[in-house]
Amino acid sequence: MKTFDMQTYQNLIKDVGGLTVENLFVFLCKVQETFGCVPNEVVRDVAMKTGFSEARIYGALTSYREFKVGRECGD
Amino acid sequence: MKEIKLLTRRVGTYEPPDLKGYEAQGGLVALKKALAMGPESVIDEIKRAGLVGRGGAGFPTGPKWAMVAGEKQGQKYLICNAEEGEVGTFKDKVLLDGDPWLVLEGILIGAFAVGAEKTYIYINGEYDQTIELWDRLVVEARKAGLLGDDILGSKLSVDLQVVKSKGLYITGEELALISSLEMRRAASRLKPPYPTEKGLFGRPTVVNNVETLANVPVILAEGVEAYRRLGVEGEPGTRLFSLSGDVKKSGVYELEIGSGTLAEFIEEFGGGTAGGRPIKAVQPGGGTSRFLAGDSLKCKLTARAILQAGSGIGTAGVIVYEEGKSAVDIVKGLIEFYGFESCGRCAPCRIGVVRIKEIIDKVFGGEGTDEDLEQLRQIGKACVAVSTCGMGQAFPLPVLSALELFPQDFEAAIEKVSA
Ligand SMILES: Cc1cc2nc3c(=O)[nH]c(=O)nc-3n(C[C@H](O)[C@H](O)[C@H](O)COP(=O)(O)O)c2cc1C
Repeated sequence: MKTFDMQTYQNLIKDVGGLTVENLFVFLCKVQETFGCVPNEVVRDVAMKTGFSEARIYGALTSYREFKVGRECGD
Repeated sequence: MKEIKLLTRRVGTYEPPDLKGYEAQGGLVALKKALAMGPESVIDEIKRAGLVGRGGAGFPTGPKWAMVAGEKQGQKYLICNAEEGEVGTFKDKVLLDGDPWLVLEGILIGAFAVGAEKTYIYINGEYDQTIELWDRLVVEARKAGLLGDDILGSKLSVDLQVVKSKGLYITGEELALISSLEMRRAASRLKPPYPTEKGLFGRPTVVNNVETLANVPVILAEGVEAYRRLGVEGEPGTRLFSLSGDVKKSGVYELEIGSGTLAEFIEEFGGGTAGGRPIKAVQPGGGTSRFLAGDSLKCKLTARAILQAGSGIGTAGVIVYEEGKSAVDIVKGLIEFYGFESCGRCAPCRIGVVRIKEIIDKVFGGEGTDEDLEQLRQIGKACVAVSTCGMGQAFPLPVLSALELFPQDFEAAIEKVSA
């Protein structure tokens, strides 16, 4: 697992062929696998890019045991 | 009783994701046929074949597809449900690992039949190697022109996303699965509307189990008549049974539907019970199915016969329990699993699962009373009656049936204290 860096993150977006509403969940799974958590910075960015509210994204992520967000992320 | 290799015929004969090995053994014949037949004829063939879903609910596949195909405008989706979270069920993995092209061919034919350009396969997060294999399979499929635009030179466009599930039992339930892909909480919702009307992102969506989709290329390649020759009236074909629990040999076996009885299956394929003791009880359809015991083990391996015997075929996950263990102990083990898996969306399941777990722990710990047993019955029945989805409707069934079949075990657990 790597610590978060912008370059790796941008590459992940490229790998999924750009962020869309339809692949956001799959993409955030990849973020979690790569960095061991989903940093606040990512949530802010994907919310802006897909139009979902940050609240919806946090609400969803925290319902899964395997996603780590917020304090669990060191944020 | 004999194993029959219809869906599992290629398992172990080639090294996935090698496509040549698949094609050399009749692979892709069905997809080519389907493309030539047109979507409506494909759906008619699946209806005529009488295929019903293998994911647990037993819904007929042809009519499900027809509903989604009926919507002519806009985006539609097909999801292959490979969550395989049910206790005692591990048959989808055999197909996902052993003949993934067959499953992919089923996905493509389904997508073609209903007009879905976007498809997903939602794979159990613990199946690490399976997910790696499917990631490679998608790359191979794109290269071979089986995913993307103009598939096999036709006008068909289909894209497939491989999704690694996040380790929750509830995301096997179709609406919770859809919610998860929609970036919502992993929770079920009320039906109707069904996914076929308002599924993923509010659009018509087919959700099918892995084994269901694997039947599709077989039906088209072999022909409906040949397919219907297998099985019994109203239940054609084969089924993959997962066998586990107190047996000498656990495993996945493909059997012609109705080819023998539950007891014969356990004896011949499982080699009898692990400790050589008589069978106490069997769950024939995964961890949420009612127990069968005694004479009802002589029921044929068909959905109808198992239902008449007092249980359900569910996921065809046969779990065997031999004499020597108390029924209290058995249901305690099951509820320990389900107790963590309620999504919390509806009160009866959210509260019921915790209360049932507490009471069983209390009874098991030797502190139970008659009143507790009555409470178990009442809470269990209430959960089954009013929960939103199949989770709350089903997890109390083994508890209720254990209370009916083995009241002496519960009473013994209670008396230990009072004595
Ligand atoms: C709690 C719960 C868990 C489920 N888990 C699965 C599963 O892991 N795999 C599956 O295929 N179906 C599962 N189902 C059934 C699905 O909701 C759905 O009926 C099925 O995928 C439809 O496919 P089929 O028509 O091909 O059977 C589950 C249902 C419930 C209520």
